[in-house]
Parts: sequence; structure tokens; C-alpha cells
Amino acid sequence: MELFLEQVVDGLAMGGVYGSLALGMVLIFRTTGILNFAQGEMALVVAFVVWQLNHWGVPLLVAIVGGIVLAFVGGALIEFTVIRRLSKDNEWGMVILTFGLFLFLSNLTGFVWGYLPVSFGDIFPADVLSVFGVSVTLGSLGTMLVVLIEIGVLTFVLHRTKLGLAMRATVSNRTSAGLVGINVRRMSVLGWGIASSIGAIAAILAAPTLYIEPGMMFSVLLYALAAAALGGFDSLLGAVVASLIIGVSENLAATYIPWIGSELKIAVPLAIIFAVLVLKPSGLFGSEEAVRV
Amino acid sequence: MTLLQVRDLCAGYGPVKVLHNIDLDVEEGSVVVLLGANGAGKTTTLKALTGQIPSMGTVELAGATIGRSRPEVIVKRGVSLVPEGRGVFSELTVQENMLVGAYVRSQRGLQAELEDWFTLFPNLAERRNQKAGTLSGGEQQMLAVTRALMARPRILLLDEPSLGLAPVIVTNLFDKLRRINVEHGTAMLIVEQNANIALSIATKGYVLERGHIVKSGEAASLQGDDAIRLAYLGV
Amino acid sequence: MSTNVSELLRRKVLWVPVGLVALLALPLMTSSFLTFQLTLVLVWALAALATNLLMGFGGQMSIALNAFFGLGAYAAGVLHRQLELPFLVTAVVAVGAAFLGGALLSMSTARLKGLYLCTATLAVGIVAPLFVSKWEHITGGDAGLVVPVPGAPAWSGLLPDQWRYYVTLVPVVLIFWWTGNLMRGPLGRAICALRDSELVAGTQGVDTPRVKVLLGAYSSAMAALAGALYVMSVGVISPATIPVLLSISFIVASVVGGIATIWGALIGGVFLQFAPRLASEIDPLAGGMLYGLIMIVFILFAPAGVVGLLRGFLERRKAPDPEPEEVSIPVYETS
Repeated sequence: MELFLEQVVDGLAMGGVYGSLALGMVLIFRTTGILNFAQGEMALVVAFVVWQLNHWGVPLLVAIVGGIVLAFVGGALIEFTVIRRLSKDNEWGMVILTFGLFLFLSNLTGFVWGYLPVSFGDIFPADVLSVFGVSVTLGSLGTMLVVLIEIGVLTFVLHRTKLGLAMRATVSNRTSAGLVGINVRRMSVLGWGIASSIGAIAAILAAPTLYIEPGMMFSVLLYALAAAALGGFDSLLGAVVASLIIGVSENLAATYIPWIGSELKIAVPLAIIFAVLVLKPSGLFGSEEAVRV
Repeated sequence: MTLLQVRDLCAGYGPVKVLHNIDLDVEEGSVVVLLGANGAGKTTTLKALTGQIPSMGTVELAGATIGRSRPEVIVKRGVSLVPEGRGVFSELTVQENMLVGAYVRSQRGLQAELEDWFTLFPNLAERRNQKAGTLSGGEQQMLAVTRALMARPRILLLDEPSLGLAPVIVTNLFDKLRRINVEHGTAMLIVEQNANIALSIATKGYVLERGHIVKSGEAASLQGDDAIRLAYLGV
Repeated sequence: MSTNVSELLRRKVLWVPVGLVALLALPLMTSSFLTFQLTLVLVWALAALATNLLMGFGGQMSIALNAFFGLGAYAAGVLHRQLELPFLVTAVVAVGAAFLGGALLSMSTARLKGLYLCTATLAVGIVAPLFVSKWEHITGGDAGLVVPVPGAPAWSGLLPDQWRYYVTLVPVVLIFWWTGNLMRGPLGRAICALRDSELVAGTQGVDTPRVKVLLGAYSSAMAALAGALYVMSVGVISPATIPVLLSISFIVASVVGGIATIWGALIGGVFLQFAPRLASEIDPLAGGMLYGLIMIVFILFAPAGVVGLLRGFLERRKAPDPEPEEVSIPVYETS
């Protein structure tokens, strides 16, 4: 029983990490209508930078803050220089562009930092708490707390501020948004900046467990995609709830269904993606309109 | 006093020139109708006036040039467009649609204004928390109009507001437009194909044919003109 | 004077026989290794053509072609090795299976468009090599499958590489020709209409689901044939050869050649065979980065690929010549 609960808790923590990346993807999708396949690799670059700074003697927390700022600037820059050049209606062009970015960044990290895994150690103190007889690491709790804060802040900004309203209006109808005076290009840049920061947080949270190396974020990306698909690509809350579900079920499946084991573990989120999209494309919480457009 | 003055407006899409030297005047507080058949260039005119497509010529609002500004700037200057096909934000609620209409201006007194519009359009009040995409065509049109008006424009541009709406709804809509014009003094430039009802609330009208203004005059005289009646009023 | 030359250059009548003669003669004049590489060029060209058909003409953002390539390669390889059936037979079986599989996939994802379709097929593309790894007893697992490659029959008087080249050339040329015909006919127009707007196609009397399913079936079958031809020449296949990255490579090849063209696929094939090598020669680590960069640069600045660039170049010398079945790609936001 304890094993079960521990797996559940671990799953929740991992789910929190996926959720962080999924939030970023859903945000970009909701504010610019694009699915950013390079999201994970962008976050990975930041994780490497954080490690590098820390390696050079910068205190970890400062390095993390620096990384998040870098992520914002980097994401905004990518939107401004590259993404912006394509018409928003050019869907497959966008997909190919983000694939190209993915390839480029993924190889860039290997080129600059090599292929050996590195780590900057733990972010949260390594203590273990006992909650109702189940051991829970402070790291897991910390991760979940961070993700909760992220959701809270994002939801607040999107639904209770003028800026958030403008961002949602922009993705709903870009032309009309311009007609009411919204600077739609600025919205896209902002959306990418914020989403990149969130993605970077995901990579940073995952780093202690997964170790920073090229390809580290690929599986996280797949899980985040599964979460976004399951939750509904245009639902922030859905993305997080789905992430938790996926994190927990992945862990349980790997532990209790031996046939799946560690090689096929990744097939679980993939099967989820496919099943959800075929059966109910709008996901658990998404809206039908988003799929029809 | 002329609020909107357009001289020698030329615009098009790529190599194709659609508008040829258009001249238009809209006086303060007046309602002007732009008549024309499909393909005459009515929507192009509005797109050019709101900065959505590049254009040549002069466009002045209360004496200040707005000719080559971006759409966001033009809205700030006081020109609001109700686009063809309504263009509501489907995923946002009715209330949110109206709130975002006020994006460019001060946010003070927003709630009170919202209530005023809800009084004028009780249908919208009923559905204030519904997603705009679920509204009927007529309701969406009203919503698009109030959204544009939330910016407190000096002039309201409307692109074929009656398109796809039942006659009863159209009558209601234009009645509301007339009231808004009278009570708030908002000038209007209404583009219409079948403009019987538009002329009934207008002061003046222009006729656009293949990118040229071919006729202009008082609304009443246009309504009485036989050629116009045959071509545009379906009489 | 230069106008006449470009006139000539534009006429397909000139290029096709010249091209065919070149294709036929090359292996007789070059080294064994180059012949082998040219064979692979044809394989990749076929895969790129499948991608062009599905994505370029049909507008279906599907990245599962690696799965069908793998299906073709493994089906042909396993049947040939275990049952000792001749390659011709195994290839036919492989293609048939892929045809059905592709139809099935299209049917199950019929409701999906754009990014949703992309994500769903991405899942399929990633899972495929995983399952191949898992079914070791059939596929040989991660170690891969070794398949004896056919030698040249005595009556041909050819070297083995040359024989395999010609055996590959024949179906590839036939399929290129067939696809060209397809796109010029009613189904081709329906496929283009599908891309332009699925809703509009529905109302214009084009049977959208049927077109989608056929599209999926054809492109999967072509990819599978490419896979079968691949294993016939290379002699070995493993899960590492068919990751979803392979689908993306096909897309890169398509984009570089010209995604909504027929001939672009051939250029794509050349690119796919020789570019990675060249990139690693410049710098082994930077190779991957270059790949991504090429994708980005082409999509932004030459979305219609090399063929598009050539056409634009030639057209600047003469009045435009309408080529209805080959449309170049959409729109830029220039401001």
C-alpha cells in the first residue's frame, strides 16, 4: 500500500513537471494558435545555462532567476525574428518551423555542452516528510507548489486583467483584435515570452531528477503534449489536471504492468494522445470551437 | 463641420487596384451611406480607412491625417469598425467582448457604460455571460456594434450590417443605430448593398461602382432617384 | 538569346528524356558505391514523393510515414528471410499491408485537422519503432534484422549494385509517372481542394472522407515500397533507422525540393542522401544544427523549395505558364 501511495506521490510530482511544460504549450496555443514542438528544447537550453552559471559560481537561485529571464527574452526574440515571418494561417509552415527549431536547438545543446549528463543538484532541501505514513520528498511538494502558483498566476492574468483579455481576444479573432486597438504582434511576443519562462521552469524543476542532457526534454515534451491533448489544447486547468493523471498512471503502469517496463513506458502517453484525439479531440476540458477552427 | 474627409483614396490588393480616387465627406453627427453592388469596393474602402490595407490619398479625421497609420492607432483616434460578418470573439463572453471593445480608452466608468448598453440591448443583457459564439446572427451583430461603440468612437464604420439577417431584425438594428446617432451624436458611415433601410436613417449617400464614386447626394434625393431605385433599392 | 535558352529549359519535353537517359546510364558509368548511393536517392525520392502527396498536395499534416516505411522494410525483410519469398512478392505484400494500414489511420483520424492531426500521427510515428523493438522474436529487436540482398541474375550481365539500382528505378519511375497523372486528373483536383479548405471541399461535392482515406492509403503504400526497396539494397533494418525523426527528414527533403511538386521529390531525395554526409564533413557535431537551420531557412525564404526557386527564376524571363496541378505554397506576413 505504501508503495502504491509513494508511486502516486512521485507520479504527482512528475506530473507537475509535465504540467509546467504543458501550461506553456497551451498558453502559446491559446495566444498565438501555434503548437510549439520546440518548447522542450527551448527550456533545455535554459536549464543548461542555469547549470553553466551555477558551475561558474553563481548561486543556484540567482542562476534560476537569470534563466527564467533569459527564457522570456529568448522566447520573445524567437517569436519576433522567426515565427512572426510566417502568416498565422500557414499551419503546416508553422509546424515545420517549430520542428526545425527543435532540431536546431536540440543539436545546439549537444554542440555546446556535449552529451554527458550534468546536474546542479537539488533545488529544494533533500528532506523527506511523512504525510499520513507516506514518505514525500520536499522536492515533490515544492514542485507541486510551484506549479500551483503558476496556474494561479496565469489564470489570474488571463481572466482578470485587461492584458489577459487582450491575449485571449487575439487568439479568438486576430483581425477583430486589431480592430479594437489591440497590438496583436505585441500579444504574440508576450505570449511566447511568458510560455518560454514557464517551460524553463519545467526544465529546471525536472533537472534534479532527470539530469540535464540533450534529449532530456524530449520525453517531457511528449508527456506535455499528451497532457495538453487530454486536457484540451485550449484549457490551462485541463492541461495541469491531465498532467497529474498522466504522471500518476505512467508511474503505476511502469510499476504494476511488467510488460510495459521502461522501454514502452513512453508508449503510455502516446497511446493517450492518440486515443483522446481520435475519440474526443476537444479533450476533457477543452472547447469544441477550438477543434473546429 | 466635416469630421471625416477622404480625398483621392486609392487602394487595392497587390497589383489589383480596386479603388480609384475616392472622395468622401462625413459631417459631425451625420449618417452617411455608401451604396454599391458586390465587388464595387465597399469593404475595400473600409479596410483602407481603418488601416488594414495600404492606401494612397488623404484621409483626415477632424483635420488630422490618419492615412497610413496602423489599425491600432486609428482606433485610438476615434474610428471604430463593425466588420463584415460581425467578427465577434466567439470564445469570449458577451460581456468580455464589450469590455475588450474599450481596450484603447480609459477604464473608468466602464461598468456604468456597460449597463447603459445592456439597457438599450436587453437581448445582450440576458446573455452577458454566454460565449459570443453561441449567439444568433442578429445578436452577434448587436454585440459587434456595442463592442465598437465601447471605444467611444467619433465615427462608426459599419460593413454590411444587414447581411444575413431577417428583415425584422434589420429594422430593429437600424432603429437602434438611429437612436445611437441621435442620443450620442456618433457619426456613421454605413456600407450596404441593399440600402433601403440604411438611406432611411441617413443624411447623405454615395454610390460606388467598380471603385469609382458615381453619384452622391442627400439621402432623400437618392431614394427618389429612379436609376438608384432600380439598381439598389430593389424597386 | 537567353530567352530561347530558358524557353528550352522550361519545356518538360526536353527534361524528361534527358533525365531518363541520365538515370538509365549513370550506374553504368560510376563506381559501385555511387550506384548504391543513387539507389538510395531513388528510395528517398519515393518517400519524399509520398510526403509531397500527403502534405504538399493534400494538406494533411501527418508525420507517421516513418511507421509505414518501417512496415514496408520489415514486412519485406521478414517475409524474405523467414519464408524465403522473392522480393517482388514480399514487396507487394508490404505495400498492400501499408495501403490498408494507411487507410485505417486516415479513417480513424478523419475528424482531425492541422495541429491535432499532426499530434496524433506524431504519436503513431514515435510508437512504431518502440513496438518493433519489443517484438524481438519477429523483428530481431534493437539489434536489427539482416536480410540477404539479391544478386544480379546471370542473363542481365550487370553487377549486383547495378541490378538493384534498376530494380529500384523501375517502380520509382512508374510511381512518379502515376502520381503525376493522378494529380492532373479529378482525384488530384479533389486532393488539392482538400488542402485548400476541407469545409469548402465538402460543399463542392468532393467526397472528403473518401479522398482523405485514399490519400492516406496511397502515401502509406508509397512509403512502404520505399522501405522495401531500402532493405533490398541496404540489407539491414533496425528500429534506429525508423524513428519519427525519419518522417521529419522526409519533410525536410520535401520542403527543400518543393513540397507541392512532383519533381521536387527527386531533388529531395538527392538532398537526403548527400546532405547529412556533407554536413558532418563540415563539422560532425554541427551537422544536426545545420539540418534544423536548413529547415527554418527554407520554410521562411523558399517555401516552394528548389523547384519553386527555379520556376521563379525562369519565369522572370518569360510570360507565366499555367501549371494547374502544381501549386506553390501560401502566404507571408510581410509587415
